[in-house]
Amino acid sequence: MIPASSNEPLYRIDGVSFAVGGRAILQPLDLTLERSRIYALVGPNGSGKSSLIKLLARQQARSGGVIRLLGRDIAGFGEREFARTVAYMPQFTPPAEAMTVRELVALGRFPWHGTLGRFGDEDHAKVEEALRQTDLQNFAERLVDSLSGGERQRAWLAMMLAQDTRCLLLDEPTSALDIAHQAEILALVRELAGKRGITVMVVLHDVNMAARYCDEIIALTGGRVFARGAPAEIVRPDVLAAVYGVAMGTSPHPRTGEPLAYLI
Amino acid sequence: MTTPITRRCLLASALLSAALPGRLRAAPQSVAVIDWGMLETTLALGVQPAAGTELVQFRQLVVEPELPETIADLGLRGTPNYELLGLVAPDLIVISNFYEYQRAALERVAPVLSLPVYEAGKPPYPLAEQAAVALGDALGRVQQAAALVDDTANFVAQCREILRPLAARPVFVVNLGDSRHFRAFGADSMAGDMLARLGLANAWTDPTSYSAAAPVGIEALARQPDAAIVVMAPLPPEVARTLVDNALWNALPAVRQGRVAVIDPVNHFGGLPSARRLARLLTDAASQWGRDG
Amino acid sequence: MAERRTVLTMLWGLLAAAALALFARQVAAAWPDPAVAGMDGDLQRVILWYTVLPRAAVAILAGAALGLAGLLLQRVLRNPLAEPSTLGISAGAQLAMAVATLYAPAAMAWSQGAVAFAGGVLAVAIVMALTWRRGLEPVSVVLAGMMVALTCNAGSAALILANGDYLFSLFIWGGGSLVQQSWSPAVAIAPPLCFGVVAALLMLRPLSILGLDDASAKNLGLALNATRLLVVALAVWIATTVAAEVGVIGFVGLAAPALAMLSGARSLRQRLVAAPLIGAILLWLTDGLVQLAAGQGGERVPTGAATALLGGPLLLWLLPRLKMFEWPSLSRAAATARRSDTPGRVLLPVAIGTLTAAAVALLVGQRPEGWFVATGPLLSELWEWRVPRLALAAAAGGMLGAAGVVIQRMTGNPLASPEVLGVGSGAGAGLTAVILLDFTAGLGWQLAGSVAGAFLALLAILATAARSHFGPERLLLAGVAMSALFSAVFTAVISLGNAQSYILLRWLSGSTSGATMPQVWMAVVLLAATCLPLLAVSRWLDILPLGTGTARSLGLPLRCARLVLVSLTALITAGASMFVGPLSFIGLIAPHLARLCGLAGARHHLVGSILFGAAVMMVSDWLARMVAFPYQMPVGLFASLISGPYLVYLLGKGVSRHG
Repeated sequence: MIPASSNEPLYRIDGVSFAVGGRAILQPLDLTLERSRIYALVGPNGSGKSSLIKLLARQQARSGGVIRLLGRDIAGFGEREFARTVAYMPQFTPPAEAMTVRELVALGRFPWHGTLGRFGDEDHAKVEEALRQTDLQNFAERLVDSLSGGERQRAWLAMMLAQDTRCLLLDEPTSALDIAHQAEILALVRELAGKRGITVMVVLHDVNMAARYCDEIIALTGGRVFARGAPAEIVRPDVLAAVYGVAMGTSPHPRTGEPLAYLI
Repeated sequence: MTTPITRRCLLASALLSAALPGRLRAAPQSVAVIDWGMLETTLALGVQPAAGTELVQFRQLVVEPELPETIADLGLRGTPNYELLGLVAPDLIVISNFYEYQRAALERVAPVLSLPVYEAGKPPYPLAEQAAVALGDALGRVQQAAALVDDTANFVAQCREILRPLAARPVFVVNLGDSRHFRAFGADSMAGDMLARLGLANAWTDPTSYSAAAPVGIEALARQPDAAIVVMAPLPPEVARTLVDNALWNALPAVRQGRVAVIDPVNHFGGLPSARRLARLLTDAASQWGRDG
Repeated sequence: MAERRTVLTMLWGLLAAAALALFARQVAAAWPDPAVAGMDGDLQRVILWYTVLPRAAVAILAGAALGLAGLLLQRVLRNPLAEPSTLGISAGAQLAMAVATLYAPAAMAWSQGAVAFAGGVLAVAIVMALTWRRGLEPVSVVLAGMMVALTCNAGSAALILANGDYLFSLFIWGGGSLVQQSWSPAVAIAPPLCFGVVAALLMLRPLSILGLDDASAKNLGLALNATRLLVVALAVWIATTVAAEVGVIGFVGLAAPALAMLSGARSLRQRLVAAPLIGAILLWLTDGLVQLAAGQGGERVPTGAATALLGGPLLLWLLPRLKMFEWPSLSRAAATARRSDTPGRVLLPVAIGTLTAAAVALLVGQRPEGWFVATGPLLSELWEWRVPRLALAAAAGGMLGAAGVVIQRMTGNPLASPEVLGVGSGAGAGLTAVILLDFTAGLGWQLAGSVAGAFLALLAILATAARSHFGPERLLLAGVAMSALFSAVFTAVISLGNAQSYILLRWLSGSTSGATMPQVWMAVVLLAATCLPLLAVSRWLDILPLGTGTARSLGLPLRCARLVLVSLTALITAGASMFVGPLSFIGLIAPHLARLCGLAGARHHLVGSILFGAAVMMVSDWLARMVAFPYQMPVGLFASLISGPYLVYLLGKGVSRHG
């Protein structure tokens, strides 16, 4: 485990770019992600959100620049070492045919026990903890594919928790969910991140959801970081119009008074 | 078909003899023959084999010598039924070099005698003679084997005499694959060797693979306009219908001038009996042209 | 776009010019010349008029006919890979002709074309019946076609083997030779071709609508099924006429429409003109090259095998470029996966069943007098024959079962298997290379060749898939292309009719007849040496179906895991296919049977699949010995016949996907 004492930020991104077939998806960009914070990554389609989060998760190789995780270039991490530090949930979670929730969650322990290692007491404890924290204990023996969309996302989240990492990277975890379940998942993420003191970066389409559940919003457009800051700094008509390319307005939430975005 | 009783006896005797220290080195009582050429040779030596392969097909394609009904059919030559062979429990199994890959399995049943007749590049007739002698030796039919060799040689010599007027005429001996392709028998096939022994010339001089060439178009027959053509049965069914419409076939000098004959089937990889049959059929066919031409 | 089209049109013009030049060369060589000894001018004129000219005519007409047939089939089935050989039409026609030659020679003498048509129609009817409920979805159609084709090929190979030289004609036919001596084949192909072109132009509108999905087509008032069946029948008529006249010519029907599209023929009317033209050029040119390469002793490679040899790589290249019809995804079909909470208690009866199968196969048999159960000294006599082949069959079946589990889990594709992905055929190609180099090569060398072939085949498939981000469908299609390519190699070698061809035929039809104890030990050691490591890394197999994203984020060493799994699978498949041939589908169905019993975890799935594979193979082997006693049929044929119906059930039911 990497010593947590150093004062390096969790992620430090220097001049990272990404191109596919000569087309630049991400312009060279710099970014730091601090520990124990929840970041939302927003932006229109094709702005590079998904690419950025995949670069952070080492799902894709960057075209240029350096990504440092706790001060070390992520390219230098071993596969399991990296997976003990960062957990990633793809945009579309694949069907887990004939797998129970508990089995799926237990896969999260792979980075710890490896291919041949024993599934020990600590592994069992972490799986139980993850099930408890996601309130899935009653579903533990159910088949993942028999769950509803929200429950299934929770099962995947539990798998990431069992991975016991410093950081969760979630690529549009709510895209297939109705509004109640979106809220439920994001609230859960926020609660657990607080409890465990971990960093979360989540790609979201809905800027209001981002504002409500995240500490900070990073707005991408055209492969560049257009703006970053607290929700109130981003949910402003001028910023949103520039990011999404449509005229948008804001008004205060009737209860909380936080700004809410809407299309004009 | 053998009765169950004799089979049980055979089995018992096999078990018994296996229990005895060393088998008696006497002429075998019961022979199984995998190779068709050796099967016909065995029959020609007056020995009734206990088992042979693909007997249904043998009766159609090899025709002579006639098969007694009592021989057990072991199934395909390529994959003989070893279980049945084990039940037949022969004292000797005769194969040719084609079936060497089966030797390990066959030797578990009985000693194997492998007699090569067809080897790439070698005329097969002398090898067939040697095989007949070796088989006669193994089966205790030395005199019959010598007689078979002599009779066949004499018969071929007589045929050669009949064909003297046609000496050195080039002849194609072919097998029609369909109405467009044929396969020619080269010098290392029994047909090719027999042409030479009959004083005729093999019109096919190109290299062959395993006694016969890969299929070629019928136009290759036009390369030797003065050659005669002998087509060996069986003919594929559609050939009889379509060959008459084949303009090239009809334009071949051999066809126009009546130097074509279709002969009955002969075992392509036969022994001396097949050689004799081939000599007779070729002579009958060729003397026809002698009279007409 | 227009500029590119002009360039491509010129390219086709150049290729046509090359074919024409080769043709001119043949004509010049055959031009009547009084100087040639012994041949009179008449004969020379006959040769020119009845062999050289009709051959070119047949090449052009057959190429055009196949291009048209392929286009029509692709259109009505909305399947860019539909063509006579991928739909099993050619194989069905071949089997029908083989059966007719043996059992109804009168039918063959009456009309070869009618027999071929009957076989082709039957094959395509089976394929369509199997996939009708899935709306003729392309991957299912191609898979069913492949199954029908492989089963028919196994049947034909068995008939050829069983009858020796009598089916010599089928060797030639399978190779697809364009040698001609009269105008009648050209005259026979012309009417269906002309009729087809006219009919297609008349049906231009219905055909265009058929390219849409069913709902839209029905919405536009089209009698969907009637039109579809009519067009399929027309295409089969065209294709089987060509097949009956000149034999199997693969890939032209596949490549011509695809190349027409890539060359810029966008509308259906343009394609109806371009596909036959391109087909004609392709076949004419290929045939010209075959003749150029031919020596005095005859052609080295029949034209049909040559088109397949050229077409296979072309297909692999085309695949990522083809526009696939967007099918309503079958991947999200409701998963009604069963699973058992006590897999140990499921494995026990499976193991008992497998042992029962072994016991029956060992004890029950036939002799000339009838059925009997072997006991006592008789059993000990038979023991030494039945045990090795049974053990070999079981080991090979188990290996295929294991390979199936690994491939299905690695690709997340329930229809993948060593057979379907061409790995078994790759092993065969390696084996072929070894026996062609050295006819007397021993078992060790043969195994080495098979392993190398299987490894390269699997690697090529997976690499192509990874580079072009193939979905599971394309992966399967690439595999089908790969098997077709290797089949062409086999056809070419078999059509040579030499000793090697018989070795290959014997291998293709799959026989355990010559099993020896050393082989058994080799197979058992191979099974243990590959399956124990697989059990050890079963966690990889649990994670891999969840996709590469998940696998990577869990820290699975993907590159290393894939290399290890691919190597092990290649080794297993090569070993199995060396002993029982490439045709079985056991690698496809054994994993499903295990899953059906509720064995869900990778480890139990693997063990269950090995047991099922072994059981099915032992039953096949027993049937192969019993059905035509004392004649022994190829075990591969029975394995296909047993697995086939299950595959049908699988396709009919709607397979759920792993990922």
